[in-house]
Amino acid sequence: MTDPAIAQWQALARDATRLSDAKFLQIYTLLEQLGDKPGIAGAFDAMRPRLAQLRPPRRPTVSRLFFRPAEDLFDDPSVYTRRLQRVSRGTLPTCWKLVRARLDSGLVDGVAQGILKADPRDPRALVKIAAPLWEEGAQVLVKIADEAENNLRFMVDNFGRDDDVLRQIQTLRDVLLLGGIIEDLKQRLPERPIGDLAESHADAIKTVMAQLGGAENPQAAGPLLLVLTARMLRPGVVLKMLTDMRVVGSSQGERDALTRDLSGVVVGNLLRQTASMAKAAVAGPGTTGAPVDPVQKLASLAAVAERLTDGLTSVNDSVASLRDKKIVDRVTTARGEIGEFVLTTVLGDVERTLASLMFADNGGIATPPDEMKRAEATALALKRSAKLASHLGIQREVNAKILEIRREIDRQTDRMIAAPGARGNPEVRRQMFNNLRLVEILAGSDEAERAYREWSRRLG
Amino acid sequence: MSQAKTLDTSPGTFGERGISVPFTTPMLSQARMRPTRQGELEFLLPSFNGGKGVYIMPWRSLPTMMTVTLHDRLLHEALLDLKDYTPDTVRQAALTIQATGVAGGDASLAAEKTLALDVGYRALTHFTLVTELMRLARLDAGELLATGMTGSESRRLIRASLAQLAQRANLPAEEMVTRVETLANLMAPVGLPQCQQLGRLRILVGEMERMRASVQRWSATDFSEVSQLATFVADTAKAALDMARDRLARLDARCRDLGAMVGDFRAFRAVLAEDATRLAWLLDGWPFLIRLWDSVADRPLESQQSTMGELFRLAPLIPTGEGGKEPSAFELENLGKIQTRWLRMGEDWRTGALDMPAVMRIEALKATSS
Repeated sequence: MTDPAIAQWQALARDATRLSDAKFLQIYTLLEQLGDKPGIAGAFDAMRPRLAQLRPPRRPTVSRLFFRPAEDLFDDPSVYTRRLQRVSRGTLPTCWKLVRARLDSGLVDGVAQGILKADPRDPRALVKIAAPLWEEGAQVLVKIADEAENNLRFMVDNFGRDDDVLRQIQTLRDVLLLGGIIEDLKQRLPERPIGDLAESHADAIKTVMAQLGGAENPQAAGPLLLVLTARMLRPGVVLKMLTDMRVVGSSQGERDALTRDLSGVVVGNLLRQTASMAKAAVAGPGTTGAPVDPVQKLASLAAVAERLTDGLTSVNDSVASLRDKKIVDRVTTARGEIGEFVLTTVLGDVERTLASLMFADNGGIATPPDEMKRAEATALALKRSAKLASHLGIQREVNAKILEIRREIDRQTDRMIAAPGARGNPEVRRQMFNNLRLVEILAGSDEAERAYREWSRRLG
Repeated sequence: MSQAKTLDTSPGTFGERGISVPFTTPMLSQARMRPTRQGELEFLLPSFNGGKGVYIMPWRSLPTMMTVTLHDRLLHEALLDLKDYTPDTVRQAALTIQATGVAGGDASLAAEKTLALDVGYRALTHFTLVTELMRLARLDAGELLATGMTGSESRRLIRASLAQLAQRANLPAEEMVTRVETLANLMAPVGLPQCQQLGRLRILVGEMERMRASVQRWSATDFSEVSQLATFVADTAKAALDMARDRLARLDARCRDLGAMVGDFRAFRAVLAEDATRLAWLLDGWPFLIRLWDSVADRPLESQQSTMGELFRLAPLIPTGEGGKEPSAFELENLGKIQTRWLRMGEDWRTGALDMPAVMRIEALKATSS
């Protein structure tokens, strides 16, 4: 497509952003049906900010669908770590280019047509469409890996001289060979990160494990378990399923080897994430230049810390079974790092953030609802940290912080209630309930009730 | 002390079934409340670990099992202050507590808005009654319908119109005022058929039908065993809807003949009250289920399956004494097992500790409408 045509598409897309939501989404759907064309890509760029707000279901491209079963294993090149059975996103474009060139074009076109016709909100339909693509694609990946291994020129031209890329291709191939099974199981399990499993979920995992190789060949479920552990909040749950699996004869050694391998990968990944989290915290705000909302950042950091602590706690048994002092020491160090991270990053300015949201002078008006929501999110982040404190050895510090904030809430409420005209003032009453919300989050409902009785009595 | 019963899902009457209370403590959410003979309140809690079992316990037993939110403690106090217990009085108490802000700012704004709408709709029902009666008596209601009047002018005109009507019906003016007010209060939750703007319960019937159809469609497209729970929920909704529509039709027929107001008012009021109250009982508990189902409309299948388990657990069966089916008609044991298999337990439910994010999810549902 010529440059002026691309510019025209972009201009049209910009005009579309001024339309109503319904019309804008209609245009988006029509553009999507035109498929993967350079001008259309530019139009999507222009529409992206509005799309980010409206979040319509995204129709995948063929390449995106191809890689979907393995997407939980992808890392940005800047944080990618070797030998953890992960895949750098930097490898994917070349990989797809080579796969695409070797796949039967009829198959690729058929998948592209299928995607256009399918409802993007229907993952089952997409699995059906992509099944032959994963099967064929995995075989093609084997050939690409073979060629890269045996043809230095091919290797250097496409991937450089680093052999690690061959391991990444192998991981991709292993996962894609089970693409249909993995995607089918994903739909039957909770959204990632998977927290609790119902009995039906555990049954679904065990059934698939049995189908893949079961007692005789536990290794066959390896790629599936790799993806699952990456999706779980507590990957130790899946590792336990594996160790609980009944195996026979020589398979026991195979099962134990798989457990050890996977435990090593899971622990390695958790350690890697801990290190990158700590590094990101030291480096400060994101690199995009966009202003970072401190409350949002606090909440997401607390969530990450919780996820990592949960993850590490869940693999305790597996780590013990590895009998590897080095890993045990690293896990202990990681806990220390997360604890330090929580202290400096999550807890660092929490009282000031809360004070600026709750106790700024609003001219006698209660904290506005949006500010209040942010204050609640901040208090929740702190509470999340408190739940982790015993695992991380930072109980004293967290409790001191909560106590300090509690005292500040009391001080501010006392001042407000003692001010002239407080009795009968609906804004004072509203702010009293706002403050009670924070007390309830931080100190529990009994404490909130005690404060309510006391403050209500004084307000009359 | 708490008393556990399993599959005790078919009480004889609405009173025995209890009124659903919009608590925010996750384990108490949608618990049903009924007064005991001793004048205490006891709560029927949906089974904590799946199925359709019910735990019956007085309020004082709850703190030994779970941490109860401040919202629920205040709501319980407000319930104790009620003189009579109906779905409407409990709803009013719940909205009043919610409006304080104790369940968060959004829930508070939603409650304030709903309470204001209730007041507005009661006034509209009152006004519609007066204009309809004027029309029936062939009196000119033109002045009443004029725009741009102040509140006090409007009230004066309504009073004058009622005095005219009273004269025509050979009733004391005050008696006419009382009758119209009584009827307006009785019919405001439902709305009069003559009123173009629908009443709250009439809107709810429409929303329930939408939800029933959606759940029915979902049951046809879900290939897991959870589809059986969806069929149960859709059937339960349909049974309540069929009976609710009957009641509505009866109410509408009676309200189209408002002339009966000037006759034996006590009898007229009694039959309307019976239908309006039964309608409220039939629909009790469903608003929460509708919002819950709506909240997962765009979520992945697994979330919908998990929510369907929750809908099954909470779906209010019509008591056998009120025309509902016997429990044996529903394969409840089998359905209960399915639901248990699909139930995801948070860690906190075992310890009774309060899971604030779960509380906030319930509060968010309260904020969507009331």
